[in-house]
Amino acid sequence: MPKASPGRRLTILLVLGVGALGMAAPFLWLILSSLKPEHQVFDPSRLLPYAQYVTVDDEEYRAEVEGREYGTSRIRIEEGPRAGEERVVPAQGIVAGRIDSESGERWRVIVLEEVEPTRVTVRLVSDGPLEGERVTVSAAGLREGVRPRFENYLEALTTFDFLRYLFNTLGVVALTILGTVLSCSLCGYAFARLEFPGRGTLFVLLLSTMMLPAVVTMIPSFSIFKGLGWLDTYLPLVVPAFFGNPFFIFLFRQFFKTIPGDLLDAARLDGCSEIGIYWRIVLPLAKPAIATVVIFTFLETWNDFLRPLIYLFDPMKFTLAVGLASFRSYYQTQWHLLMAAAAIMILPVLVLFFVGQKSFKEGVNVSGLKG
Amino acid sequence: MLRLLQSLLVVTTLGAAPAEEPTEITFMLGVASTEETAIWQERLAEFHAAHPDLRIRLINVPNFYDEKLQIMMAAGTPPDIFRVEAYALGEWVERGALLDLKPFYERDPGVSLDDYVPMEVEKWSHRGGFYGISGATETMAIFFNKDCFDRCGVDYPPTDRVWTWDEFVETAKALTRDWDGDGEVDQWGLRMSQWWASWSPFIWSNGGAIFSEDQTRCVIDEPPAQEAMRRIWELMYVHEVLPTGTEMLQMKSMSGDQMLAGGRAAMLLTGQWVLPQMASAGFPMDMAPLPQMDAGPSNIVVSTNYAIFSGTKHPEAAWEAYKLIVSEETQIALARGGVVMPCNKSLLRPEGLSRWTTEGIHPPGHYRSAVAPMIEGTARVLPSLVGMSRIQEEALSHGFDRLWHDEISIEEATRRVARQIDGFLEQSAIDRREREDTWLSSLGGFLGEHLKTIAWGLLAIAAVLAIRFYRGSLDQRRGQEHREKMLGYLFVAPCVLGLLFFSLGPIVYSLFLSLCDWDLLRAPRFVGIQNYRQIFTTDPLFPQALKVTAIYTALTVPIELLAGFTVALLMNVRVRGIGALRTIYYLPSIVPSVATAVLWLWILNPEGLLNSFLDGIGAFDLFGIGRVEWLRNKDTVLPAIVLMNLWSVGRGMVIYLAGLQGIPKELYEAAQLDGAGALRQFWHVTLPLMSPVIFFNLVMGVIFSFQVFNAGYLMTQGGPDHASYFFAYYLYQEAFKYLHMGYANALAWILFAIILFWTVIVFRVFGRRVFYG
Repeated sequence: MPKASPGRRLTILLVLGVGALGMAAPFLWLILSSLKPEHQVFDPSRLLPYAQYVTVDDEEYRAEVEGREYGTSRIRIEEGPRAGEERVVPAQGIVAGRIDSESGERWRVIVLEEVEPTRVTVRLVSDGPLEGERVTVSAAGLREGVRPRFENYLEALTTFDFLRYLFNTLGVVALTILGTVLSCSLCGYAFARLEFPGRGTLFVLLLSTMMLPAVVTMIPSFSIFKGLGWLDTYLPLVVPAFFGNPFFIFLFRQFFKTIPGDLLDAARLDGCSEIGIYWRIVLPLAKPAIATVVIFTFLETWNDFLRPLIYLFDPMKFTLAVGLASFRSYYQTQWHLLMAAAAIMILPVLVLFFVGQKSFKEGVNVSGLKG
Repeated sequence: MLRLLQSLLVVTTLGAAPAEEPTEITFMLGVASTEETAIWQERLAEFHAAHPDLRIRLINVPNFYDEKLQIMMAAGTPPDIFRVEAYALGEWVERGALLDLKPFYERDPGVSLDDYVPMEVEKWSHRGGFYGISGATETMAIFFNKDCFDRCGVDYPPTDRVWTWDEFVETAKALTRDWDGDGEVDQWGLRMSQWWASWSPFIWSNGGAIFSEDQTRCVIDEPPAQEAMRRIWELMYVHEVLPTGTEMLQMKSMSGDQMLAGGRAAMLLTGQWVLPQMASAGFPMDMAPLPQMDAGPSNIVVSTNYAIFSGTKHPEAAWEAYKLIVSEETQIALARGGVVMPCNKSLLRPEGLSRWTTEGIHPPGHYRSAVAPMIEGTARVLPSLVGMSRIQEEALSHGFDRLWHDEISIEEATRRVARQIDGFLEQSAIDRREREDTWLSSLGGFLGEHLKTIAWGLLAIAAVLAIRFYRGSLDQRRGQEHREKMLGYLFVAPCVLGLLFFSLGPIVYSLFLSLCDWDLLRAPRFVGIQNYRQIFTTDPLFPQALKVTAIYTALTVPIELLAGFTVALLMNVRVRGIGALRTIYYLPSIVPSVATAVLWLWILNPEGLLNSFLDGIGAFDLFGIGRVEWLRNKDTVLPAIVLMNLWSVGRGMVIYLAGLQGIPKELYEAAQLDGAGALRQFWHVTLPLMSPVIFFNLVMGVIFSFQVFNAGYLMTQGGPDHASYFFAYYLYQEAFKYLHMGYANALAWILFAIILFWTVIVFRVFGRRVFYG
């Protein structure tokens, strides 16, 4: 790694830091949108989710605005040819501290006083003797406070069969992991430590199928699974995992190559069968490789969209990815719920990343090695 | 398990034992509204009370209904009763998927085809059969806001006759107002959608047609039809009473009924299904018929019908259920809300109206505008030609988008659409031609039917071999070498099977299928290179999909490579906090792609993060433009998707970083000793040593970007005007939307060839420059 002067290092950090803001912004936007009530989602000038509060009979309530009767306000114009002029205008004309002039320009203004107060009808929603009542108050009497709306998550989980999808996905993920680890470790071991004719050719053939575009095999695989009568079952998603995956076979092979041969020979001398060697010595040693494969298989399966989309028809059988996709067209414009649903899908992946960072690195190193 | 065996035993011994469980009929609907779902539930409860031996199970699929239905058909497990689009009727009948109901109607004294308005019966008839009534029809009309008329002192549309196009234009002109004189229209005379159902009635009303009489050609570019389209175009660009395509895009966040209710539009051309929204908006509103052009009034019926699956196990029970679903009572229950209208003559004639029209929902002009065209027979339907679902989706739905944006002339627009449709028609004509059976066809049919047996056979052989290998590996009489060989075969057996079944097998099978005509429902038929010939000669979508995918690849691969490598270079320093930065850059690339798509849909929304950010830094003021509709503008849609992919730059970054960290320090030290500066070190040490990694990423990048699917499917549906019609999406549509399975297999092979070609090119051009140390 080249040495860098402190000045250069600072510049690099700065550049990367600004970039990091860009990378993190979508996440923040996701979380913030997912915590807003529906009507606040479209107001980008207000970053944080907020609620309105009103005090009635010395008791503070959270209030939901149901109606608004605009009054008039006396304002002073702050910019443009008429700067300094005071006039009385309808209150709804003032948007974000500006009004539209007759000529179509927007002028910044300062509200001096409310001539006729704007009045709002609110429903009191938090605990208290007047809960559920409707009252009309002056708009100036409404206070705003930051309040994340966690109910969105509950709503996203319950109005849609998200828990069921979660369960389905976990089932598919677990079986896929089991199949992948079993089949790929066997093959990887054979390629790494066992001599048999045709080994090299087979290995090259296997690796070259990694280049095979998934979209190209999609339609013929569908045809085959239809022929087998497996459509609308989890079999097309799970069964192939038990028949190896070139990338993970490669990963296991690389790992098994590092196991000292003396160890295996010693076991053989002790009369251990070849299968016994694999099962009692090699596999327990392979825990780091298994962890990497488990994590990457989890990600791949959890994120997979195309295959569940074409193989599962019954909404009851959907996985999270397909569920979220149909959630999207169902709740087209309810971005707060959509964002909550997306967050629910992303969260486990992030947790997995932080728990298994080391194994992640392992997998990346191998995928770089492939080059 | 024991219980299962027992019941099996009971069934086999008793044979035809009386069924205790009621017969279950599945009924698939695609309903999004909770009110409508409630109506169905209520109707079904009544039905169950009256028929204790029958049970209707409602499957509601509000999204991707058509795809779902087709796939269920393909799997051989469709619902017994389902809803079909009018234009797709012919296709379903040709595939043999629908039950002919004529014999049932003739036999059952309770119902008769004479109960329905003749045009509905005609519409659901095909080649002498009848395949189910709609029970809920829909037509188009002009809705108008009376306040707007009053405010402008304009007379309401005439009630004693159907108004003429000129009267309509004059009215619209008088209603188009710029109240504050700022040069922008505040009240539009008219608003209409660009959907084909909005403009096709005028083609008929002007004496034109969309299809030639023998239905082999599209005649939308002939004078009467072209003239009708010109008149609609004039509403935008000559009379300026209808928002243009561009203005329409900017208003997209406001729906037509909101514009009408808010007085932003005085008239709205849409279907009568908006009545519930109109009623709840609560403003003085009425309806007028569609204005007539030179050949008299016209209208369009855009309903869907209920059909019974031809392979249902319980035709009699399904017939009973069907009768309930289209019964007068159900029609009334559904029509009361305003979304649909009945199709029974008794209900549509003036004396039957009171049974389903609702005060406050159906305005006085409703009968004249929406019902009369059906009774009088002036309303028409799109013909249900084979290939129609593709024609309406790919040609009619967006074919005129560029005309509405005034980017091409009317002559060119109509000619383009006509030729595109001709291409589709030619294709389906070839598809329908009878073919001779050859030994290859029989092989196709055989393979398709006996795949299961073949698979079991192969598995059995594999099992026998596996046992042999296992025995061999334990065989102490033979040497270590032999045991190892046996075990090696045993251990690689799963992946060899996987190779055969899930990658090489499918590829070979696919080559065979690409030479077949196959709709999943019938056995594949061998047709030689016909699919390939069609793709290269008649299919208008192939060049478009290729172009879009190529442009996308040319944009995204270099950008991602450059960005990933640059970030990795910057990240390759040892400073406090770099770990956290690396994590932040990496995280987006592990976010599930569906979640990424949904999130970026919101970010790229006109009110989303990107526009807010650009607005915040004053970018829009700088260029003097409004908020950008990133995904709805054909020039910005691909860059927007590239930007979204750039968010996942961490995927490449970590791989480059791993490579950079693997470069031995000594090399840099040696270079420094030789007096090489930072730039020369980069050029002579870093780049050569990194070249294998860069090269690998380049090849994989090309392979992946040719397969991009999610963005097209989830975010843009290939639009606008096919501007994001990615190859993989095209392939998906052909396979699962239009059931052109053989055709899609041919496309898959072409994609395979293209990817192979580019991989070879990448190897040739860059491979030589790669330094393998």
